Amino acid sequence: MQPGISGQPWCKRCNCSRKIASGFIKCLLWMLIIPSLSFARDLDIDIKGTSIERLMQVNVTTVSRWEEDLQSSAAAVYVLTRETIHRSHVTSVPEALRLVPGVQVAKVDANKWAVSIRGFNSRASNKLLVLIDGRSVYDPLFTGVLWEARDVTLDEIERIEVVRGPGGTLWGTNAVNGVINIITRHARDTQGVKMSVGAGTEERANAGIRYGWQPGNNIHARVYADGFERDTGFSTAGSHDDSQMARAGFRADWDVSADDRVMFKVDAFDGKFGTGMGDNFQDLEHQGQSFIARWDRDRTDGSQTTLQFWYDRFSFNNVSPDFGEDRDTYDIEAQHAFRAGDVHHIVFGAGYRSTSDDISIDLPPVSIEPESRQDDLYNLFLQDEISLAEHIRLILGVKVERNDYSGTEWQPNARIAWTPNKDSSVWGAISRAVRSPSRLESDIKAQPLLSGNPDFDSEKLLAYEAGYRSRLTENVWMDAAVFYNVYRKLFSIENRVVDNKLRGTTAGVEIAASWQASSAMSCDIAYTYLNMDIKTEADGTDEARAALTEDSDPRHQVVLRGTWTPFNKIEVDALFRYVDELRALDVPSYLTADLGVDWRPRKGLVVSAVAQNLLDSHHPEQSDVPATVPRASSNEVQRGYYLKASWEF
Amino acid sequence: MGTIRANPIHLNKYHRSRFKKLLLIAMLLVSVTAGYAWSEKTPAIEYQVKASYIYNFLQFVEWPPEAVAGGTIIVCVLGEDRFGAALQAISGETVRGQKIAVRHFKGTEGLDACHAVFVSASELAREQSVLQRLDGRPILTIGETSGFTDRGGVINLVRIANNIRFEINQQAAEHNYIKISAQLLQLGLRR
Repeated sequence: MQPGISGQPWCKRCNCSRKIASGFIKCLLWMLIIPSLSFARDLDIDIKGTSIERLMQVNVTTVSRWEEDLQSSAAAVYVLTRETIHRSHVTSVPEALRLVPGVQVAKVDANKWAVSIRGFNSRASNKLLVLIDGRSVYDPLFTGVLWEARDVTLDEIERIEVVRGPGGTLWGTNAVNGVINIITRHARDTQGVKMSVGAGTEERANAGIRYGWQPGNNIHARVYADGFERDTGFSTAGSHDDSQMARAGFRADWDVSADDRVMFKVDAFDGKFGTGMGDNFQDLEHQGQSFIARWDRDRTDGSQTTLQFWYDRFSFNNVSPDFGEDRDTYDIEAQHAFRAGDVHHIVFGAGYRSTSDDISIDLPPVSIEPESRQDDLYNLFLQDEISLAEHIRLILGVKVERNDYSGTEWQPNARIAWTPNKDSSVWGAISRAVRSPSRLESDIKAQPLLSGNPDFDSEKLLAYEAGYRSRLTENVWMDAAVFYNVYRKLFSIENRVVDNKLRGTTAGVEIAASWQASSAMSCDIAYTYLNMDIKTEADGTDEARAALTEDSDPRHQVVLRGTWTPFNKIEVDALFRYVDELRALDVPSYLTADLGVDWRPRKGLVVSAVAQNLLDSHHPEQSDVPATVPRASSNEVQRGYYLKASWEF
Repeated sequence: MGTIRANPIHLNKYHRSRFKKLLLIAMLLVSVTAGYAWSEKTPAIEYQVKASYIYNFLQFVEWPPEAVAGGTIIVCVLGEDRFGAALQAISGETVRGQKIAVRHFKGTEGLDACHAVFVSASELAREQSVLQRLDGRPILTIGETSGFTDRGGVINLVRIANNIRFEINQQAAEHNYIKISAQLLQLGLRR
């Protein structure tokens, strides 16, 4: 495509919110028409007639090694790159995840998030696994991720890989509906100094500093620290959900030899998060420290070995009523991959995890028994990727895991991928996955209101998936996936005792398309359709929960993102999102827009001006309370503006 | 009694929306098939840019007269060729009276006859030995791996953010009896 000519008029429409619906359709149409029109053209640049000065400015963003792997993977994978995260002007990881098809993200209040994949969204979404450099941040107390605490400094992130669908075989239990894998940057890529400072109406103040150096031959290191203060959201009852956070960390990468690499990372955070409305509010305090060491060996014969150890300490504390968790987790994992002849590519591994907690609850009649508990988790897995024919691969895998709640769990999967050429692939998969019981489901005591059940079994899923992805041209890429999930033994409460008496099915379609219109302009679209059907088992009675679960997720979601670089030093980005209503939570559908402008007056210096949630002064995205319970007010997301400057040298 | 209503002008609403759907599907099919044919021919933009850089370099570089006495500048690609049509575009062109010829090499055998050698990233494992072999000969070595110029390569095409830039090792150039114009040196990155 010639820069600017075909894309420009369309992108102007992009900015007009009223014509958003027709804009979506036009975006799709252009994506379909443009590549076929440009069929006749040969090369993008004039090889003999382009000056060096001009060559230095041509954008050459193209597929990298992991993108190539992604192109042929037999699963629904989406990758958020550092560039995408930067250009969407988000300020936290959950916010960045809004861009990914098949992911539900909603702000519960100004600092708390509900994030899930393929449905079942709530603050305690328990059917997805979140890893930071391979370290799980899934909290076994209530089987979920406390995003406000587990958020990662965006500047640290290289990319975020999101796998939709069961990832149980390679990743482990609780990766039922998907895995979010946050990968931080190699210390080699963060040499020198970077400082940033920002202020705004919602993002009240933030500052960060990073320093990278080379302590020895083939060793790179960095330290970083950042902190922020965020404003409260909107609530007619009076909101108290402001927050403060401070984080710091260190990473070192040592390229020991041509084959061996060692990585070492330490992180810590400390944050305070306001909770509640009106006269009923308090601060939630979170602290955490973690440590990871990993050794990778990539041999020229194609074999790969990884040995990894991590430790994570996490505590949260509700001041009044007193409810707190202190948890220590150790984990060791080993993995080896090799080629056996031309046909088999085998990966196998084993892992052990120990987690111990100390829970305090001072809220009669609620208690937890025992108050401290240590649990072990063992796993073994084996996967064989078999090349059946030149372009067809069959992947068979199984993971066996033993946990202290539901015993031994088998998670097998079978996948098939057909890759007719390097630019497109078709895949299908059948997998079984489980979500193991949480500490609360097993051990909570609150008679006569509620009682945990040590015999509570794991939730089971049988998933059928298929997908198609293709680089339609050098500049247009699309990825589509469909799934049909059958769940058994879902959480329910029967006669005030925790039980497994819900079942159901979910079905959905996820489409992502991306168009690099020119070196200066690109357009991305993500569409998500989700339909949930949840019922009680024949002997179950928890119809209220079935109805609530079934209607707590948006049926349709659309994300449209446009980036434009009109001049060398100016970047303009726009983001539109449509999220359907959450009927069971009485949250109406909403359409919102973010707009950001970056100015690079000199090398290393970036000044950003950003407006978020532009289209209304406030709107709710999620609720803690079902629609059936009367409520005076809800926590809502407000329109916000911020300015930020960062300087790297 | 049925009357014929196939006149397209009288398409009702239902038929119109169906027509639109069909049109959409047809466009999708066209774009998919066209896309395949195209993407197989066009090399990645990165390699178009690199090919154009190589062509530009040839204008700013001077070989010792005896090295180019044959009237041809031989540009060689060692290892994986990701240029495709992009480098073929400069084959047969003339630079300062010399005709450009493009050759491909899998091994180092016969590489000494080249005037410029692009060492593909696929050759990383033996890059050092290749550079040693070409050391001291009137050959412009061009690389694309980090540290190429530190290992004795003359020009390295490096990726900086979304752009391709280049760095020059002037000592290596002098060592190989190659003169690089001040203008090119100025445009290169500081090493």
